Amino acid sequence: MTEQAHAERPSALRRFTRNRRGLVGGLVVTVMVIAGALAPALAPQSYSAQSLLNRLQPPSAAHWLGTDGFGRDVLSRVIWGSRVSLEIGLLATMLSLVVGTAVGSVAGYFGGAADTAIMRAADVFLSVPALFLILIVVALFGASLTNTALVIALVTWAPVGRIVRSECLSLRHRDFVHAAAALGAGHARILSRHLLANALPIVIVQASLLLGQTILIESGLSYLGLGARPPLPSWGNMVVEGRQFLASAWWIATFPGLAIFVTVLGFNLFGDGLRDASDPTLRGRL
Amino acid sequence: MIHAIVLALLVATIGLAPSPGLAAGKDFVIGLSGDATSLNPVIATDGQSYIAEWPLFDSLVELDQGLNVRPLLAESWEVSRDGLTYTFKLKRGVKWHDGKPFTARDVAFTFYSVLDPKVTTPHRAYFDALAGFPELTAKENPKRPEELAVRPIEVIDDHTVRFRLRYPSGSFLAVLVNPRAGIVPEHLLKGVDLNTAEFNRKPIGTGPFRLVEWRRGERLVMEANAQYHGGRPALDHLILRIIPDSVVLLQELRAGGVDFVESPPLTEVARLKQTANLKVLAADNTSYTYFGWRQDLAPFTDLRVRRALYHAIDVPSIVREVLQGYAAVSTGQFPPSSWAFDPSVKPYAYDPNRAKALLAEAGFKPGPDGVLVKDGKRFSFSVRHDQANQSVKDTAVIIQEYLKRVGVEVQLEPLDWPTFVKKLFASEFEGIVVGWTNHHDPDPFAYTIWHSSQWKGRNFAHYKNPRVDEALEAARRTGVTAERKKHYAELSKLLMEDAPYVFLYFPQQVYVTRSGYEGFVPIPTFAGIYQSLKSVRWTGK
Amino acid sequence: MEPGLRTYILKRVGFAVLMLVGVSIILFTIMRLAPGGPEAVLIGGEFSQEAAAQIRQRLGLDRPIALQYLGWAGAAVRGDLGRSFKTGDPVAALILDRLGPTLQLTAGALTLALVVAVPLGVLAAVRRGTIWDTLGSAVALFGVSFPSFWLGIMLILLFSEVLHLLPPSGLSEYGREAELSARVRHAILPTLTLGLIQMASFMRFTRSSLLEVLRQDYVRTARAKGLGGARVVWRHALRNALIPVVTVVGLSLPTLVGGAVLTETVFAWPGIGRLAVGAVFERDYPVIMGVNLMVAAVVISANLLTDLAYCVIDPRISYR
Repeated sequence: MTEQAHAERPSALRRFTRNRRGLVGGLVVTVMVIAGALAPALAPQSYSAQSLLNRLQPPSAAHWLGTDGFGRDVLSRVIWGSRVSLEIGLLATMLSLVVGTAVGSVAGYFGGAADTAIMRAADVFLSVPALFLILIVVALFGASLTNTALVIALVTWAPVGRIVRSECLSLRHRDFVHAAAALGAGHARILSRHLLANALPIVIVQASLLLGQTILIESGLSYLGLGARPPLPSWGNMVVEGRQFLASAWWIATFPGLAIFVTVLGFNLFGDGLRDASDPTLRGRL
Repeated sequence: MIHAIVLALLVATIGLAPSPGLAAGKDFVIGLSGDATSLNPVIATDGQSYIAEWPLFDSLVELDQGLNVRPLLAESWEVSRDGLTYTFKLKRGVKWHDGKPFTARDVAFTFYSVLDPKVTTPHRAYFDALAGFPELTAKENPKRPEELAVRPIEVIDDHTVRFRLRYPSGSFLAVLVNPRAGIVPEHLLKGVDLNTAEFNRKPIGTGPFRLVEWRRGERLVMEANAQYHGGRPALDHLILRIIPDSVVLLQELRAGGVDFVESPPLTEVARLKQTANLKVLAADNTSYTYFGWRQDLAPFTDLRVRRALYHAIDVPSIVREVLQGYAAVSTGQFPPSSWAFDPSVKPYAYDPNRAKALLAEAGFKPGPDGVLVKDGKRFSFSVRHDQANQSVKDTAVIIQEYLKRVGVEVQLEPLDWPTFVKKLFASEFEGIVVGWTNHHDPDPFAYTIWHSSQWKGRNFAHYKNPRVDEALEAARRTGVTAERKKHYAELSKLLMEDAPYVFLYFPQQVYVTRSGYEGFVPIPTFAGIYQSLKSVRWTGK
Repeated sequence: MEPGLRTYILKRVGFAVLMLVGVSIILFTIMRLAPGGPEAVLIGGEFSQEAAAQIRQRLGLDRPIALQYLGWAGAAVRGDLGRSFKTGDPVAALILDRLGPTLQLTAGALTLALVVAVPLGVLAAVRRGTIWDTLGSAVALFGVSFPSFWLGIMLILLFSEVLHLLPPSGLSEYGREAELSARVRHAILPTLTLGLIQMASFMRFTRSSLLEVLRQDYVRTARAKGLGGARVVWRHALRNALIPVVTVVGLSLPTLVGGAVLTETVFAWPGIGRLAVGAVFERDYPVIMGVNLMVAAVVISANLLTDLAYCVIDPRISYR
């Protein structure tokens, strides 16, 4: 199966570009990332400039998405919000991937007792509702960037670990691994060069889906009051602020939520496209 | 598995207890944003418990709208010439909710319990003036009342009780009101550990209402006390529904699920006023909100810096826009409704240019990013506040913006209440925005906040000013109101000169209730309108 | 019963208990290590260090962590989950009280999700490449991208504020708790919110799982043998494809029992999720431990039972 993937890789890119979903997803992701990266330049107004006389204004020419309870421009805050979401999302995803890959490959490659122990540990994390664990850590220890990213990584690494593990499990008995071992390659070499290289496409696909997931989790935390510090806007924060004005100023809660939805959708589309392109036989597995 | 689900669904559908039969108009439903923790006036200290205790317990005296003391359980009283002895004659024929008679022994028991160091209660400090206070409340080897030469509380006969003070305190009478001084029954609590008594969940008081049911986290149901010494209340039932979500609370109000809500989000008040069957009540209060900082940290040690911060913030605009006008601009420790208030003290006007000039004088120069710099240090500090208090949150965000305009950078740190209070009292902060409810008598809070001996207490900002100390001590030593007023006027002047805080505003108490209920009398302090629940009635209009 | 099987069962049960203990230790330690405690909440506005110290002593929070844990664990083993710091009520009673509304919500959402997702997922897989597949996949993709709290708020906006068709929150109207119609009306929006997202996730999984199975050799063999298309699908493929779906349902077990925190918050639903959130903010340690332990116990037991069931059903699975 893997040799097949090797042989088909050159056309993967072509398959990807022909895959409409993946392209659309990629486009959305790019727009959001650019928005976050270039927020200072793109945002028409300051995200914190208040105008107490201009509170709760509906969308207009001056404020395309209206103003919030402090008279701040919603559009600018939405643009800046992508920065916060992406920052935490990226950090958490990277941590999650690193931990998941490391743990999963060790478990899958060495098997036996190590495998059992690791998988049981993963089960422990999966038996507590994710949000509870995150809530406990973040509420009690403070909602800093590192805290939040770390604990999100803690609850999302297990699925990645599982997938990498099963890949390594199935690959470890292949001929080329035996050959490499016979040639004197150490464990580490076999792991990194052969197994992980083959598991890489799966991991990349997971990354995209994971990013979407972490952004959802982070915005949920913000909604509960455990997110970015004011006046730094986070999408989840904006939605919870807007909830009290739902009847009179619906735009405050609607647009940031829409931003979350579109961003996550983009990452999901992108991930799907990647998966379809990298290996058609993987389609069923994820 | 399916069976379990079906069973659970059935249980869920049927299991909820039905609410008591509601008679429209004869019952009054109050929406509370949180549950009470315990219904025992001696130990309860949170706002919701106070609200629930008001209909259930009486105190010796109560306040009227002018904050003057008037009789309640005490019919009359005499004060000795030297101001050290108070003799109360109690009302006759008062009964507890369980039918037993109320006597002076209950009064003595209640206050000895407050003084008992084994009982966890912060109310103790308010009775500092009682004779033998230091001995009774000592941490090591506290004395028992029988061991004292001069007993602070003495039962003369069934209807007479005498208090002895160790110094003439002008605020003593004012302390004998709810919520801190509700009287509890000796016959039910003698020999019981008050901290964990079953009584705290099944209280018996002498108040206008008696508790019928308390479903934790859901509701408290009270019914009228037909034997109430002040006459049976007009309402049949008082129901306190617990709805923690403020948005939902308002929805319930509009839909008819509750009849009364306190402190609605002020941005909604205009809309609520226009709603046909609702009306808005507002009255002055002794709560206050301020923007403060550690007095012993640079650069706040520089008077010019403190005054600059005051000039930088447009308080009247905050009162108008954030609080919709439901607040009074503050000029110090005392609200306009207090007799200690001195109208001649004026706050620093909003003047950002003056602020910038003062900061420049103090040696600050604009840095490369717009934030002021002095001796290589940027003028940037953290401001902590309670994340659950909407007005405080909004105010903090606005202050951050105003300070930014004069080159001062503020990092906001909203904290959850447990962490915030802990850091506050440990003096672990740089700047804070805090809202407290003041006591209606000037002494308790003024002393504990500004006196330099209280650094481990409410003076967590570490303020120290010998002239202020003098004024506070002098005010404490005399029982004559006119004298105290002079000293407090001096205090207000000194504080404004020194500008230790930006005194922001005194928020009013605001309520929304269903039209048709009349008889609310707002008292400008803790009592709010809850003291008048015994006289609220339904007129059906 | 074979000796190998017996050892396996004992080992698995042993692991399960060990995991439960592990979860409780981890949670307990995290909570005790955190700054701040329940004193400030219990005292409210009249905070004083003296009162705080007294409360910590009364709640046993000044003892060493190990002792505190052993005390809690010893009682928990006997079924006593302690008392809430805030209200003094027994934790078990609090949980049971809130379990009803949560189960009502999550069971309803799960039923909705499965009833819609499985057939649609099957349809999309079987009619791959057609309009059904595209539409179904698109809807599913949208569904998993919604933030649940935002979906809930949008539903409230549409059905309550704009159309005035449904109530915006809560379990029921006051005074009408026993009325089934009121309860149902209040349950519609939260169930929809939770259910739509779960449905999308299940649909994606069903489709991809079924697709994979359809590609497998033995299906091709069956087809080659000349068995009809529908029979192949329904008898062989579906049964196997549903196994991973059961796994996914199992993965959503923590949410099922622990309540969907965000949905419950948006709709002010008095369930376990909100109980847990409130307890975390108020540092009500016994309640936090009790809720998490209960959820972990349910999940671990369910996994254990599933594993044991597989053992009995499918002799091909080896015992390790």
